[in-house]
Amino acid sequence: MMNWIDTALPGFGFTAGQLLFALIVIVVGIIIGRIARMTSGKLLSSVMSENASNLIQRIIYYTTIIVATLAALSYLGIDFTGVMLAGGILGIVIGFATQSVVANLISGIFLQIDKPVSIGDPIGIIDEHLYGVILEINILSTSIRTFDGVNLRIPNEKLFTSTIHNFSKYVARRVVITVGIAYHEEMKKAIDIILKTINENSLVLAEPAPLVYVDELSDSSVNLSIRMWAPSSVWFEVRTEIVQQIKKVLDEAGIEIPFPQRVIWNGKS
Amino acid sequence: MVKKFGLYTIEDGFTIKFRNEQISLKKTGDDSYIYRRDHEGETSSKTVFSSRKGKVKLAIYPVRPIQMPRQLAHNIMVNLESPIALPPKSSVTHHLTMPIEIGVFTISKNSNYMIDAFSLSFPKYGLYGKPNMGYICRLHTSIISSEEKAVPYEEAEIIMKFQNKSADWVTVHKIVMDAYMVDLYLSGDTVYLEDSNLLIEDGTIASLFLNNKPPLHGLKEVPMAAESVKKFRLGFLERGGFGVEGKFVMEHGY
Repeated sequence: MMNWIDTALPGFGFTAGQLLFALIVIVVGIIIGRIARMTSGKLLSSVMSENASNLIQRIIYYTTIIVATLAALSYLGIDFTGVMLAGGILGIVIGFATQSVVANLISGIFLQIDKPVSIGDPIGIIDEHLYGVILEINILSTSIRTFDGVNLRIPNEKLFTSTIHNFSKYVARRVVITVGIAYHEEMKKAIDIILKTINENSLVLAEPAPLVYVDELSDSSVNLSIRMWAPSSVWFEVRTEIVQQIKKVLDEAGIEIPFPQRVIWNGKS
Repeated sequence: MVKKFGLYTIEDGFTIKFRNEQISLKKTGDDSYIYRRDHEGETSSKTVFSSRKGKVKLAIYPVRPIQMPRQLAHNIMVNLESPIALPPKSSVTHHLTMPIEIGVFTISKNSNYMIDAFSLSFPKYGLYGKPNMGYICRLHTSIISSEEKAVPYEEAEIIMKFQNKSADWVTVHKIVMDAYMVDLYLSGDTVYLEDSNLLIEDGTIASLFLNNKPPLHGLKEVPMAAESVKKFRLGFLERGGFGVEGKFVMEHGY
């Protein structure tokens, strides 16, 4: 029984026993790789998308098998110095060539973990002057439908390193409108009319309470600042409705919204 | 007062009025009817549906107040007209009110479908907590009394036990509840919130418990309550008749 294990294989520098042990190392490596893939899948599925999770699982699985195979071959006395040297040089070349791909990949993973945006969020990428709704977050890039209906693919690295405004992250957003009234108008009357209009709009939040105040005595008008909160999902609707309603009620009340005007004094007359 | 909540046979010329809202049915074909809701002469809602040769019925029941003008809020915030001061280690029961909406359903053998919902009160919303971690709530201001005061078809009665288990006096200004946990009960056309209690164990946090049972004997659960929200936790259990006890932790003040 022991004889064949210790017998050197003709033409190779190792015994049948060593070969058997190397094969066992590879098989154990495959089993560990599968367990690691399953475990990481369970852990990652809750923190990132299915695509990203699958990719990381594959990387873990194949890395484990490669390490086990290299360990087994090394045990058999196969010299990897040349291969490693060539592999190292190749790795550097590939590394330079795929620098942006790797950067996008890593950014994609961090986007999944950090979650600055989610699918369906209306966002603005300030550095790029882009505004739209997130459609899909892939491992290398993110798809956005801009508000004018164009599909946009942005590399994850650019998205991750940009300043992002997420317009629906919070449940409520503030609406700010400035309205100028003529200097001869009664400010309190205008404020009361505007407040009544705001309070009659069902979508404007009653708490925090809307606020209307004299903000500025500007060149042509007394500027009233109107601040109110609205659910994020209807923010735009509230803003457009309220601006229109304020113009209507001020017109009805005979309160003038003045044009910019300048008094020119002729020094000779 | 004629009872208005309940099941109706679908027939041409059916009308029912809830204050300024008039519901009517008109036959438009062999087996099809048009449902219409008019508000002061203007049509607010219109749906055409099939009666499946008399197998479909119309149901009108109170529903959770989160449908109008659209599903913006998951929570209801009841502001108390006057705050309730509770001595240490004490409990007291008060009658309050909360808003309701009226849901109109078509019912066939296996499924119910809400074709309309409306409110007789003007819906307003408020933020409970902070914008980054708060809740949009349907707002309501409630009087506090020792007897039933709810406005018919507009409000539901709340019979709530306030318990202060802390060692200090506390003052309750508002009550916030998760609308998806709310069950409604009926006695005639008077609507009641399920049995509830507000528990204060320390100075900053209150817990509202909805106990999945009627607040008084003899009340019947509104059969359509679970249908009035399109998504809710453990919905399949509620539909199967297994109510769920609810707890809402008011961590942004009371």
